[in-house]
Amino acid sequence: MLLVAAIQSSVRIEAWSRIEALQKLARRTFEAPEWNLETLAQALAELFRADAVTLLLEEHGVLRLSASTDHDLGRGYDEVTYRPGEGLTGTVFATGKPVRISNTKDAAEVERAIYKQRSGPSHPERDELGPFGGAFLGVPMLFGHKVVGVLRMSRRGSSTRFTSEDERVLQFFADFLGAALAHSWTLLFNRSVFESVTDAIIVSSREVGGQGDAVPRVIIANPGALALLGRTQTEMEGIDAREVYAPGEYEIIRQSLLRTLLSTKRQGEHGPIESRWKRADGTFVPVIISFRFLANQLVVPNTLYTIALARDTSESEQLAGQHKRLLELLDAIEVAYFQDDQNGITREPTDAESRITGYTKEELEGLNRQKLYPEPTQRNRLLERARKNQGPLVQVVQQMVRKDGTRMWVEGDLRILRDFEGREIGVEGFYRNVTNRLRLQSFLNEDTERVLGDDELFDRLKRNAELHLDYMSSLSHQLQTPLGALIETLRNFETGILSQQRLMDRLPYVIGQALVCSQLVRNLSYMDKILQDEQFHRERVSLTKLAIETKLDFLHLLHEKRIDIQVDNESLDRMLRVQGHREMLRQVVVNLVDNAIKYSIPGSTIYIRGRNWPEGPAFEISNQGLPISDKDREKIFERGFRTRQAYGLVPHGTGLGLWLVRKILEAHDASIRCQQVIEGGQKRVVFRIVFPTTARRTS
Amino acid sequence: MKGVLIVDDQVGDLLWLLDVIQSRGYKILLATNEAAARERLLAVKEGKEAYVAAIVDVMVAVKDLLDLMDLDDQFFEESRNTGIRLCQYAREELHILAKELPIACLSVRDDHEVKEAMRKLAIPLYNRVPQSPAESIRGFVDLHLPPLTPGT
Repeated sequence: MLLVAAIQSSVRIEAWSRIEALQKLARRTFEAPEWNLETLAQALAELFRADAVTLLLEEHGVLRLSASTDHDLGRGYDEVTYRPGEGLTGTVFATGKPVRISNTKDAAEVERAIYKQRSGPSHPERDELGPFGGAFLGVPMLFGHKVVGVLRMSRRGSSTRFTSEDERVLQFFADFLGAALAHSWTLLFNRSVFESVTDAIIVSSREVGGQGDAVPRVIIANPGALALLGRTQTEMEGIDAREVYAPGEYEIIRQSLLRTLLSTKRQGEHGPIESRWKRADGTFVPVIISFRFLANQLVVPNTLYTIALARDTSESEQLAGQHKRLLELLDAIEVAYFQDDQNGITREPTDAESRITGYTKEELEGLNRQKLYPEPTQRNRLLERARKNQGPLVQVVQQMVRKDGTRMWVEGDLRILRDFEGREIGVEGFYRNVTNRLRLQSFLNEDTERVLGDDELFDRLKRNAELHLDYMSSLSHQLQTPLGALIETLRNFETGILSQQRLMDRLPYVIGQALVCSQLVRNLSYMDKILQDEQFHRERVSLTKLAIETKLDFLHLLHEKRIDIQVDNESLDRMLRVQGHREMLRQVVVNLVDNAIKYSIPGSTIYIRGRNWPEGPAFEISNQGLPISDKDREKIFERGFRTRQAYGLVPHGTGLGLWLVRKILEAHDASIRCQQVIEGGQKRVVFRIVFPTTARRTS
Repeated sequence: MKGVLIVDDQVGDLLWLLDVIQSRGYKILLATNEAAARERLLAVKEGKEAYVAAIVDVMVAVKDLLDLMDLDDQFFEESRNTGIRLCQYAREELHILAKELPIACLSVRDDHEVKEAMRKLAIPLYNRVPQSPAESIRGFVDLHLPPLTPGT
């Protein structure tokens, strides 16, 4: 009995000392930065006095070689794999139970142990004497109920068999190893996350269910988090996790997460939540954080691990800040920014757009932008242009409609917004009200298809002001000349140089000079009316009468230049019944006749007649004289423009007569063109005024 | 009969001056553009023609209308200064002296450019609408065109 007890005691002592050795081995193995399973196998072989030790791990339902004391095992084409139930090792894998036999070459013993026959081990360990075929001990490595691997050892045939104590001790170690290995995969996975530098990850832990509120402490932070916070790993480890956050933020997040967890009981990721982390230098960095939670319930009290995955949003916050400042700037200069979705619904109303359109911001939000255009298809047409353009539309001038229905001209840029896959998700752009600017351009006789830049507009205004000054100077000269002549003629009469008889001869000239002055002054008066868009009374006007009266007014000049005017009463009366302002239309005829006389060849004839053209009834005045080149024919109606030949012949002109003619006619919905024709073998310049057909019907 | 050269394209406005000159017994020769006036001045230089005086409008037409019709588009002359050019032609190119041909300029312009040009040429400039007798071309007429007695 004593002997038995002594043996049992020594066995127990031996078992305990082996367990202690195994514990040390485990600590040494798992605390190392890189696990070395080969060394582990070697250590196990020594502890168990085995000739060979091999570790095999499960992968996708198959057992694969992991490490062995036989370094040649699995070399070459011999891939060491076991399917469940395949041989001794496969049986341990399939059943999750240990197999211990004294001689693997003994077929009967193998069959007794695993209920199967076999010709020999499929992947035996070897040494210089050949494959091992002696005692065998295989134990499963378990993680819960799952077999994650098999640990097996062999002894030569001549060696002693493995004991049940060997089996229990090895199983104890294998269980531990199984849990550690299974956990190691998770760690490997986590390690890859921790090594990520783009995102910041902080893991903290806190005891739960204990007494009082335990402090959450940082366990680890990845390089991304360390860089973001400007701290080292050592500085981070163990600090109160609440200190990572801006004051008060941790509690807000905690409450928010608790609500989510309670309401949804959702597993996995929570958030994202916007917050701010505190840097080492005391500044704050905006972050958006997702959370994962892990609870270790194997220990008492439980530990809750919080994994915070954060992204630095300072850049996007900066962009948002810039966007906001840009909008404020655009607002300040009355430029409206807009953004809508693919259905044309306004997404981002702005103060400037509200002021320009008359809609409140609330009304704008959700407003279909088609309503802002006079025609329902206008927006789609614009988008079609943008698609064809394959880029933004720049400085587009178009009409828009205010809330009160009034129209305005706007100029702006627009582009189609697309997602990463190129699908249209909306439109954005900005515009400004250019109605008054275009009105000014129109006043300056400039193109209104586009909005002139500030420099251009300034140049035009300056040129216009200079023209005006030139005009005033020229007008003053033109008034002074006939007035001076009048005065001097009267002075001649007063001093006796001019006899009464000669004065009578001179009178047509004197009257003609007074009429010229009167015509110039009237031009001024009508120019003002036209430019002010003044409404005027319309009545039926006989152009025949106006033409004849004008001819009489110009008799002195006609006589001086030996020019005749023939007025075709019949055609004028038959074709032209015009509604308009009598005196303004008189000014049109006067200016055209004055021009014709100035630039006609002495001895030639000016014709005035009515004609019917497809575009409407026309008043035509033609003369034989100074030709007007093709490219000048449109320009002569521009303010201040005179052809070079006209300057050469009559240096003191204003260049305003024909411009005023056009303006007056536009106010009458009539148009004027200049053409060069050949009649009776003569080149003649024709001014053709086409009146609207409605005027005829009205009359 | 002694003659006076008048260079102006708006002779209707100068009829009063023609009356004054003619009442003093002088005949008038009219040039209605710069080109025609140049021919007259050249004739004076060459001794083919002689005038007691010349009166030139500062902004006279460049050429006759018929001549202008044939000009191509490249043509452009500074038409504001045709009279100045004529005076420079007479005094600086043809070297017609003031004692040979007294010249007066007539204008509604009284800007610096005209005044300075006339000052350099020592040619008097008169306003077409004089505000005082001193500004009137009548003074030039009195000085250079005394009334002629019949037979002179």
